[in-house]
Amino acid sequence: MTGPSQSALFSLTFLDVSQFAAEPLRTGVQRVLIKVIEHLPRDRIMPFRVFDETRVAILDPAIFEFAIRYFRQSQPAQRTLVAEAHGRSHHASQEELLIRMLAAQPMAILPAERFFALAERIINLEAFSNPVRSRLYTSCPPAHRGKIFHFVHDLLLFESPEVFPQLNWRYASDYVLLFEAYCAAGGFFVASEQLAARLAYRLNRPVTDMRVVHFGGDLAAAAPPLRSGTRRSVVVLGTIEPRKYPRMVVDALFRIAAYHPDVDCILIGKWGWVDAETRAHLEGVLASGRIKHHRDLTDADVTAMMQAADVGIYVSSNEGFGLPVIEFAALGVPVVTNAAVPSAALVRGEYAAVLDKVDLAALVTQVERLLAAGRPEQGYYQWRWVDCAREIFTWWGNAQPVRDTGIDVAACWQYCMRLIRELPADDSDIDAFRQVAALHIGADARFWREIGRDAKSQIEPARMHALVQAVSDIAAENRELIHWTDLLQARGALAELVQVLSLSNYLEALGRAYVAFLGRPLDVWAACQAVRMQSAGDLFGRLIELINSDEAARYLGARIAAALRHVVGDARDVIDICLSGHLDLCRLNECLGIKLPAVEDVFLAEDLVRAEVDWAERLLYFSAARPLSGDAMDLLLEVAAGVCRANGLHIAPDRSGIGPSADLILSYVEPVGA
Amino acid sequence: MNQVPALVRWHAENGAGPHAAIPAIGDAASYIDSDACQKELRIAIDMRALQDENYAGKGIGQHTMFVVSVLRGIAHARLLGVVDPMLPPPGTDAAALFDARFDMLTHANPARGGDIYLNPSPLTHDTSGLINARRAGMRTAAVVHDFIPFRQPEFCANDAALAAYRYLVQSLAKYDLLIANSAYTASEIRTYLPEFAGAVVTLHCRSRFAAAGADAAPGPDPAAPYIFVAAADDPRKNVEVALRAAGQLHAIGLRLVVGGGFGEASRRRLMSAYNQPYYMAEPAFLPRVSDAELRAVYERARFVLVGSEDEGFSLPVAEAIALGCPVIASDIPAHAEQIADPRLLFAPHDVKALLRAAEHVIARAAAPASLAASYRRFDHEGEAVQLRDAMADLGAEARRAGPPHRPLVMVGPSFNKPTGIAVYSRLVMQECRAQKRQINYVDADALEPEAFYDWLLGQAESDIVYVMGNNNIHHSQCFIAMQNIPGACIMHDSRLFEFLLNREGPHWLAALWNRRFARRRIDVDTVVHWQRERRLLPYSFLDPLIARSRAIIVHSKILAAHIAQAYGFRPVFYLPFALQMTRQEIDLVMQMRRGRRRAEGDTIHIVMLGETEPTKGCCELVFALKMLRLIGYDAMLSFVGKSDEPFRSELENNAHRLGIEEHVVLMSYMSREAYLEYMGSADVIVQLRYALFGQVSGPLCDAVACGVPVVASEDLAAGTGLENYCTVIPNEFSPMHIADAVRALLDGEPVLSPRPRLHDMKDYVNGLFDALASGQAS
Repeated sequence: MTGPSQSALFSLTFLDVSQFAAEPLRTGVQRVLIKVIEHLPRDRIMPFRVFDETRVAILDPAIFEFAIRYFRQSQPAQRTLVAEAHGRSHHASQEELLIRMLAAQPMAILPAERFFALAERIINLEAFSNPVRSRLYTSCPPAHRGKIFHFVHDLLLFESPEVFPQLNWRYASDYVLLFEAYCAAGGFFVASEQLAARLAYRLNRPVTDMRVVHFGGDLAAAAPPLRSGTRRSVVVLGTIEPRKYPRMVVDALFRIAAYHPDVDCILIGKWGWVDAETRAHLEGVLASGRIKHHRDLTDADVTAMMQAADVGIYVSSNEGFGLPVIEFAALGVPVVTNAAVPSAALVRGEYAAVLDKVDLAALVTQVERLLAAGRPEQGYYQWRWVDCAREIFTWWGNAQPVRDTGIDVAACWQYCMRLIRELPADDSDIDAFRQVAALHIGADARFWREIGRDAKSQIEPARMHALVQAVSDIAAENRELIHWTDLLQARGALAELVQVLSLSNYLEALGRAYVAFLGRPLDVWAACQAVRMQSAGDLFGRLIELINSDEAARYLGARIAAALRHVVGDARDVIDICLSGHLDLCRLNECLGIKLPAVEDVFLAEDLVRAEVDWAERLLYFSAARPLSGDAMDLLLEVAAGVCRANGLHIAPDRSGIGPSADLILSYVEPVGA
Repeated sequence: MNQVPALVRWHAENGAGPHAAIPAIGDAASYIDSDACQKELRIAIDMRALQDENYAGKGIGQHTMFVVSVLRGIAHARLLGVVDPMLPPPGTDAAALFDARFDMLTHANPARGGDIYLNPSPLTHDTSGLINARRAGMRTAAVVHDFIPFRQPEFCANDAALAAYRYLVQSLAKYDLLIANSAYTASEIRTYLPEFAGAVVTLHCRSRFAAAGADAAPGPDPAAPYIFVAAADDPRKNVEVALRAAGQLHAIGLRLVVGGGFGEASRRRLMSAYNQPYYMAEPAFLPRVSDAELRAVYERARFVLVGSEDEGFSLPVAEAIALGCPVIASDIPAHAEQIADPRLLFAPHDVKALLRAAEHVIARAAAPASLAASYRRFDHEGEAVQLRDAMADLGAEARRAGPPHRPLVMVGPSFNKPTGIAVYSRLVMQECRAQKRQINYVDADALEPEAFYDWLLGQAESDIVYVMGNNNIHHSQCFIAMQNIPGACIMHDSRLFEFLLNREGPHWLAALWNRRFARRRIDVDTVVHWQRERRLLPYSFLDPLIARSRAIIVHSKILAAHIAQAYGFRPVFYLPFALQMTRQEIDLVMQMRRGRRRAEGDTIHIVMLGETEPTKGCCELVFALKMLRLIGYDAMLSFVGKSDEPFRSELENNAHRLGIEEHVVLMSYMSREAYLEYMGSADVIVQLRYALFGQVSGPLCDAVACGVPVVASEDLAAGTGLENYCTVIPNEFSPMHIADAVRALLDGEPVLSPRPRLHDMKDYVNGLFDALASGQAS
């Protein structure tokens, strides 16, 4: 259903976070994405991911925050560190897990056609080789293509395939689909004039379809420079791989260290792919001790070292842009780079040596020259990420700019999601639900407060009606949809939970419960295969950790989160046994003389109506009664309740609002007797 | 012969190896030609029997060491080891016997300056050494061990193997001197080579063990008496007879200890012949043991049993005799030559006779001196003197004069075979006939094995030009011929990876690589990976051709440079590929092109000529078509050549996936007329190759000759000297490179550069004969 009513919810710039949500990494390209997101007006952007070739999933804007936090944390969250110290082997940090869960738990699923028609603008800041994403973009009707903007960071895959030893163009048709997606776009962001010209030629488009934006040189605020006395430092930044001239650079550092004993030579970068002979040579030189090699520094530490450097080196034979060059420049650090690095053109001058040809002698000579010349008073690259974000956000290309509506539209979307969870309704009557939702919204002062209006009377009635209808429609439609794809994609806690149950022989029960509640079969074995097997106790602890996190409350809704906490908090005996690893739930059942739950047990929950019941039964009743939308938390809730029910747990009265202490949380992740 | 010896290069690539003990030779040629060396008897010895693991550690290897040590005793003799780089290097002990070692490179083998070529094992490897030596005017000698495959043809894997063996035997007649390892073998020489006119001397094999003296020898083990069955993992060794007799031997308190390092499968097979109850001690199968351990096994045995069905001479019998161990053996002629007492012999499959012989030897062992008289001992010293004299006499003879005229033969695929090489060879021969060149053409692969080897035997004095491709079906026997009779090689393909993979298997290829690049070892998985991803192939594997060629003719400058640089091979000649189109055909195509005008909106026709293959960038070309269409070029793509499965399906699937299947044309068969028509109608021709050591494209030459706009990959264009007449894209090309190049041709201003004068077949044949002459001169 389209129309002016729904367009109220689409007066936003939609940002494609599919790639990041699927695989959060800390690549240079994703760093650009995060830096831009940090400075975009948060109330004017909305994240989405490609659901399949014909649908998009609108995500909770909370994912932006987690993405930024994930990127800032180069080390896993503290609780994860604790868990790892006790032998657990899960790898995802808190932020990464929540990013994935948020991506797996969209607020709404929309047909692509409607999305393209209604969205004011669609921006993708990352390249991809995913045919599903490509086909989605290609499916955009020509009339709406002007709204689609891609950031093209480089054309290396196409122009310099030799840089990627793993790339075999014989099998790389997915990149041709990416090219096709580009062809279906309205405009492009690029970081250099040269790339703009090349892209325009390659796509056979006017250069006016390209917008050159300036990457920011500002890094996160760092501690004051770590300058140790009279010692100076030369810092090289970059993964150790063939295109970064590793051998030449390391040999240059060795010479500099030999000629200048007061200079610390520092190499910051992971090992990439280099041949065995080169690696042996590099390791030999590094073993001499004259060069310090750092591999796993936090962003803050890297920034501090860069800031403290007297000269920076960044050379590459093939580069999309070369962020470190402008970062050195912004920090006021003289830099040696080469002409093949596009960012070199932006800093060429007194403090930047741009080599036409990279050779050992030239590297050493220029470093020595810059060391002698000393650092400038201030940075010599002025662009910041806020400027970049503004350039991106304010360029409409061939699309029609849309004015700010004054409504926090993102809040509207979040409200939609809550509606689905909070409103009891008969499953089958979507119209009835729509009406109930509309009435509810109209009467809910919280809604009007959250969208930026203290009094709904300040909004024109027609507009208010349209907004209410839009929110109701989205909520009604999406409660019908199973908008959680399948377990294979919903990683993290849910898959871990499935593993717990598989180890406890609850898998079959889980499958039956799923069929009973949702009418859809579940390939739990496939899901289990997607996640490494861990001990039942470890996984249960992880689950507890997750549902006790602050974000869970906001995400799940306070009532559900509290209910889960109570269930879990008072099932301490069971949990302790699981954590000890000596008994699994199956054996526990045998000890207690409890048979495994059957479908009938689950269905029984629906008949419970007495007021004075144990909490597990109330939880089951709640699960059965609330509208089901098939999201990950639903299943988690269902199964947790089923486990407790099957074990005949008695839950203490409601301790609503009081969450467990940090000590209690940590005690769950430490094995008994550790 | 100014060339840094391959020996020095080999050392550099492989690091210090077991051959570090060899005196360093700075310049092989000057060594050979030095005054000191010139005055001496220079004996070039084929070291393959000491390199090949199948023979080095066995009887043949042992006897070879003995022969060489005998020759060391010739005054003023220099022993020059000629190694085959296709085999592992010889062990330290072997290498220490030689004054110098050289690679078996035909064209600059310094050993050709030697006086005598000695082949210690002429029936186990090809005849290349013999042929080279004869051509160099050297006198030749060979050691003959046996003719077992003639007597036991069932030991040959198949008819082809038997025919190959027969060829090797018949080639013995070309030697000047044959050295038999026994009187029996000497008599066999006369039987199988009645036409042999040269001398035959006998040098009996000598045991590596010498008796330690009465006090030192430990004697039989009284606690666990056993019979040592001296054997090897070879059905001919007939261990079964001992196993069938095991029960009765147990009855007299003797168990069996079987030597030879039998593998698990062979042991299981043999034990089926062992029919004793489980409580009887089973035979013990020894692993491969050191000489010292083997000696102890001999000395502690009650007696030694050798049941072999056939031998030229039995080293186990000789070793037992040398160590003073009682021994019984099968009554084959070789054993009868070594064991005088017939009661110590038994028919190979007669258990009762074996038992009788066992009883007899046990009884006689009570009087060792008397028993010793039952065994023959040979005058090794006397025979050594004879051999040295024979070699000295041979060396004093005048160098062999070659025939006044050597017929020239070209070996290649029949002209009716459906390959580009066959077509090209036909045109070459056509021109040769037109120029009245005296050259015959033979398709060696069309001959049955027996006929092939008969033909090969008659080619010893011929100059042969081998036309080689990378395909086993059409070039297998051609390859064999070249291994036996080195000659010039016209190499149509830039690598032999696929050929060798099919012929020898991945383990062989991995072993070849590991010998060549000892510091970058690989395993079979890597070879399999290269087979799947041909563009990753880092090496051309041309070693077998390089090792047997006098001259190599290639059609790519890149390949010529690669061969020279990677293999250090000098006589490699770049000969431009001849244009295969006739003047009339060129005129026809040009006329077709003049008559067409492409109007705005006409479909652009992109054409690739030739059979579709992954290494020709066909997938990338399909992708480039899609990209062109996306940016507004209404183009279609025709693959004008055979397109077979499974690659055809890959192309079709790619086109379908990208929604352009209607714009991609694939063919099954293409006539010459269709070929010309497509060339006439093409807007752009695209000819690409992955950069695999320098490849060639005949259609590229055709397209340039007809003035068709062409896109070519860098090495393909540069290799054929056509880079100025094509739009060149990088070797590591992507679809975008292809699309850019096509656009440049379509959108750019036509450049009216003169068409090059391409080589025609007349130029080619003239060049070929010039190259052959140069190759022979070197």
